[in-house]
Amino acid sequence: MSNPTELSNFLSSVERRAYKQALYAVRNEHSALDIVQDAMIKLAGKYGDKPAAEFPLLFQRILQNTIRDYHRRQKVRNAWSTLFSSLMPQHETEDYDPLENLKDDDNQSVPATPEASMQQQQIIALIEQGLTRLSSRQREAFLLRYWEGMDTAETAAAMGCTEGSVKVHCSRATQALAEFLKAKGVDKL
Amino acid sequence: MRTTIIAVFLLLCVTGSSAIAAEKSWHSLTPVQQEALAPLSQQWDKLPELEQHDLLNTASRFPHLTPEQKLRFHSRLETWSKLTPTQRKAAREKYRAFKNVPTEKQEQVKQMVKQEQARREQTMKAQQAADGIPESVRK
Amino acid sequence: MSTNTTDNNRRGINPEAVANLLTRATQQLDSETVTALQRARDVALERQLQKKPVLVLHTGHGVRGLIPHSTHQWVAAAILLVTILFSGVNYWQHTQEHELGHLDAEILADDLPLEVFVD
Repeated sequence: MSNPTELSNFLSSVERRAYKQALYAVRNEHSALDIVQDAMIKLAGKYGDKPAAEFPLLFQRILQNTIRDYHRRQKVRNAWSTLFSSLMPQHETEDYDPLENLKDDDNQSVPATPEASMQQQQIIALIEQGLTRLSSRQREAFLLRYWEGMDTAETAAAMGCTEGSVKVHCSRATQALAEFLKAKGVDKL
Repeated sequence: MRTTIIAVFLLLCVTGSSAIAAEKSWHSLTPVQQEALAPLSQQWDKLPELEQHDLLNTASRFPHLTPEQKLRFHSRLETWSKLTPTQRKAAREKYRAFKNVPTEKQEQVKQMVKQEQARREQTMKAQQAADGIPESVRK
Repeated sequence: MSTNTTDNNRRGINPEAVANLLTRATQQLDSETVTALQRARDVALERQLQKKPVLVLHTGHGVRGLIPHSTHQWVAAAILLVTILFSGVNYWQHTQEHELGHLDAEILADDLPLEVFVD
């Protein structure tokens, strides 16, 4: 049984990465924050009494599901906006898509710190851009496996798929990312 | 002791499942149900059981509606009952989705629909005037 | 940055190096986002605290007295369980249908015309 401090420590250790993960997936800062908050509340409310060692896997599973739910809702919303634009042709239903004007945000909004070289900032921006272009399953697998440091079995459990497909997603993600970076002039990392 | 328990259990099963089935004729409906479903009185007895069941569930909300809502409810009931289950399901999904959209967006859409309706009505009136038909009874 | 394995060389990137850079990016989040995350965490922790007492009550009780001993009790317990399950499913189905009825009535009475929702 865990205590509030353990949960607090866990959340503060994971929240920034979780936010970035959500941001790469939904490309909207507000929605990304909402998603992280939702996932945190679900973890605390439903599984807050679980042993602290189980938090990482539980949290990732909740986070990925919350992101997926968001995409599903977004799909309905988009279908909806097309419905109305077909019904009422002359009006400004285009501004419906909240993703539209935020697409390039994460490339520019990284503030440079004095010690980090300009070049490194650019590479980070490129990696982040590359991540948003991966398929959602590839991105999930790549981030869980390499950034969250989960092994194949844990990643599979968090994603709700087989270990085999985790491996496939990971290798495709790495390949796609490498190709994207190469096209942008980053040969090796 | 054991037989009593089994008897109670069986009784529960029977009463539980009976709530699901059973076709109802128009005359067996309560006055409140009849009022809510009035536009369907003619075809009610021919409707499939499941549809009757769904409609009765829908009708249970009728007494709680405002007079204005009751009018709309009645005017749409027949169209609604003629939809296929898939159409109804799709409509429910759209309605739910619409209710999830931020309120200001909802208002915007309502405004657009109103404008569209007004325009349609106007062209219809113009046409009727041209055809020499008096204004329709329906608003 | 860690050295590459031959496998990663072939692909051109080392996932570990990518991960390190991503972590660096999280250290550069603007203060507004960091505060928002902190607030989110506090809200979540409050939810955990609210739930605690209920759980304590649960674990505090002994379950021994509730375990059936004779066959007779086992049969009774099984029947009770099935009955609860059955009425639970029934109830669930009932509320489900009820909610659907509510929704349909709402659609029928809404100030937006039906055509908007029907194809």
